[in-house]
Amino acid sequence: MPASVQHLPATASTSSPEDDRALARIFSAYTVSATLWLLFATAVGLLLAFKFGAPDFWAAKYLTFGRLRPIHTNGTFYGFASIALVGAAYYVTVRSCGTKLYSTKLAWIGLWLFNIAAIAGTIALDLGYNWGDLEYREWPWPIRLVFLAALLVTAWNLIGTVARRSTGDIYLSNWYIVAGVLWTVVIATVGVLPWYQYGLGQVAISGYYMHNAVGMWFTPLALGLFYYAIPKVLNRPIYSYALGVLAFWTNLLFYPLLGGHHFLFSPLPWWLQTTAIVFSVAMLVPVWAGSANFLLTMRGRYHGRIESYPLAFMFVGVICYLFGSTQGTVEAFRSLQAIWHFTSFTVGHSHLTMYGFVAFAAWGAVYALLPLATGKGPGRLGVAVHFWLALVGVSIYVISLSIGGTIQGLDWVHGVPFIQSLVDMEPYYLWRGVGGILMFLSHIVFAWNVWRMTAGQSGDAASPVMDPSATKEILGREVVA
Amino acid sequence: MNALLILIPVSLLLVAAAVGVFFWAVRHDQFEDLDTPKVLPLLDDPPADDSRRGGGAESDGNAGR
Amino acid sequence: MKAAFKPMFAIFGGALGIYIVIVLLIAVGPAIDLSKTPPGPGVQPLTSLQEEGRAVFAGNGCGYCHTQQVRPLSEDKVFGRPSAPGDFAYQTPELLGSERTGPDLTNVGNAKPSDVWQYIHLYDPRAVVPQSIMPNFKFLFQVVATVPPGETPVPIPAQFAPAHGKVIPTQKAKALVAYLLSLKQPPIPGYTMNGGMGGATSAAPASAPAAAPAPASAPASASAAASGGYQYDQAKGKALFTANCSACHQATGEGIPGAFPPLKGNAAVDNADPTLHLHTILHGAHGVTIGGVKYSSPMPPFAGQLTDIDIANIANYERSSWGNHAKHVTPAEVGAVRAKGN
Repeated sequence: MPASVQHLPATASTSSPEDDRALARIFSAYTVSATLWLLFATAVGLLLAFKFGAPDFWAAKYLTFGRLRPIHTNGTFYGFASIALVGAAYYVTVRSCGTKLYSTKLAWIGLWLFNIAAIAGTIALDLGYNWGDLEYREWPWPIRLVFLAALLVTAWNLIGTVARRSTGDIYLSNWYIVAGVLWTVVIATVGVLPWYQYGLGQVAISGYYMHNAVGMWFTPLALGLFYYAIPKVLNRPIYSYALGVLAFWTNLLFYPLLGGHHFLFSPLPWWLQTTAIVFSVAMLVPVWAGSANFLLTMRGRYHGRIESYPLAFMFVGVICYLFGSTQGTVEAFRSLQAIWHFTSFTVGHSHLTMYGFVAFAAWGAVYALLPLATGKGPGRLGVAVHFWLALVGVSIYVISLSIGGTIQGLDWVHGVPFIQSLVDMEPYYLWRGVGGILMFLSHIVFAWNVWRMTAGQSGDAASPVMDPSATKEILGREVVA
Repeated sequence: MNALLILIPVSLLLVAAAVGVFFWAVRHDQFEDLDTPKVLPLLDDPPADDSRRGGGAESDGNAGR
Repeated sequence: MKAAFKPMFAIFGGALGIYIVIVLLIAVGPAIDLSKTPPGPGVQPLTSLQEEGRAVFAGNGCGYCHTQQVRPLSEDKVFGRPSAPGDFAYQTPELLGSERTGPDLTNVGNAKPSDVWQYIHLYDPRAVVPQSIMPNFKFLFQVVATVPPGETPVPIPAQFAPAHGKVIPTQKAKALVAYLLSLKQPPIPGYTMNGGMGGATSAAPASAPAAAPAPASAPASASAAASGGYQYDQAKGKALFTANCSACHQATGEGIPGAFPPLKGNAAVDNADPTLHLHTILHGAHGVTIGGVKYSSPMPPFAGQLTDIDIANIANYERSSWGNHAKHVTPAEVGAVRAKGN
């Protein structure tokens, strides 16, 4: 009960009902668009998993593994995750600034640009235009410029919104969200300019891009959503604002330096690789600070994590953020990279983080906030089925590839004939496919839930906001609601 | 080894900068009120028009709805 | 309204500014420097056909399963010498890769120098490597009723071949194979050349960079020590055969008709005099005629990567499998053939 809460901002937002409806339409449109990409890109992912067991299945030119694989990665990254996170970010920024969106038109333009880039990119990859199999940087550069344009439009819109806020302070979520978009503008630019990308120079940029795309785009957006949505559903403030600020600045100072750890034992300079390892350890600070902040905010609300599925999604997101990032720190040590590099262990890691953390964060934010925007909720059963299918699926996925990948690496260390490592992976590829099936089914359920929250009939889930009466207690005075 | 000749002075510079920024922050009252900002998500009032809501969603006096 | 901007400059401007500085230091700066890395000794730019093949390689996502970087670790020795910075001077875009579902390809031009093998493998990987999960690239080939002049059909094994017609490579397939065959590490004095996609070896071949004499001497010293107490190890022989030989000669020892000769019933293998057999393993073969069939695709030499003990085990495995009943050899005999040179 902070007696020091001073200068409570005026509770009247400067937005009108029309503004709120416009925002709800934008949030809905981004979510629907992201959902369609999720269904497409993970169907491709499931097909890829199947091909590990049946390599000759649909092996024709436009369905060959090597073209579908980047379609899956780019489709989930830039089709699903980016669009879903930006849509929710718009809502969070507008609401936490107590104003209306700077420009609904720019938001729609941004959505078009994201989709044009993703569609064009998918087609280009399927036609065989893949310059260098550079992880999630495979779209031809003109298409990546379209994505950059979408980022610039989004940045302008968000900054304009923050500039006309009615709250004095800029709420912490907006630090993460706006900075994340600005950082990604830099990443997209650095990744596309050609003048310093020859041979080993490009390897340095590849390492930079691979790590910064996940750490300075998806991570801050997801964390920004957590900082708003978790307090929102729990109806209590974040445990420690200062800890969030610390995590913000230490993320910025440490994360960008990690790129070299994607290329340990390559001919990249020793100092670049070692710097990456040292700061991979330093990352424990923002990761544990941030995770502790979220988990302590949820303290004493165990029952809430089971009854409130939005919270459950975000809880899993926080745990996978903590676990996956710490796993990343551990993986960065040379002794362990020597075993795990090039194995399926890394694929397990990337799904633990991009799915267990980022996707669950996006879903949690959507389930927590979209009903507040549209006034329509999903069905309780639908959200529960989505949650459990996705959680069990990704657990099977990650565990099977982590064990299999370790065996793969140890096979190589022991000098076993290469083909043996492939044979040894067979049961783990199979279990990964089982996990993938569950994950994909959960996405179908998610799509159904999104339908209910946007265009369809509202379902029977309770309001995502728990325990509304707590608000009055915490603030020590009555709040005009 | 050569890398260390650069990395150690750079690290010391960074630490000095960090300490300097910290003192600047304290002097400019950055740490005076850590409580108001954090309740911001709880104070944004509900979307004004409740008649938009489709049928069926249960609620009872939810703040923030 | 102006007061609203001050914290925005501090937070967003500060975050962006600090980030740009870090990126210049950790990415752009090093990249500018590394882009100027000169090519190493013997590193050549690709021909235009090989460049075309490289584009086919990347466009079809081969880099998602096959790396092109050899690490300075013992487990990577089977792929070649550790990659050096100068190796990548002409490799833009970089194809270092991030996953080894399949083996590293840095030296595949040395390990699998037979274009026939490459074509068969691309057409249907399981025709030469039964447990492979690599997709087939039949779409890089054409099946024709009559082979046009100037084209050579690919001798696909019967059970993998189309029911009618002959398989010929398209331009893209030729370019891709030209690219793959160009993947060879030029040797660097002081490093060791372990070109090949072998696997288990019973003793480390000439691998210590510190002692880098001609490759024959280290295996020779190993065999000198072993000649006294050699015992044929069937398990090791089979493992070495699987890792080094079976891709072409097949686990059945029957080879692939028209492409790779059978070892089963092979006159050189099933022969009391092992000289030709051992010479072939040590120094490879090219354009030989066996049983009336001319085999134009080359067999790589294994003298540089397998010790006398290894070769003895492999030879003895071949000499006692599939109905072959030839007298076993010893590492000393291998050493004697090795000493005579090519």
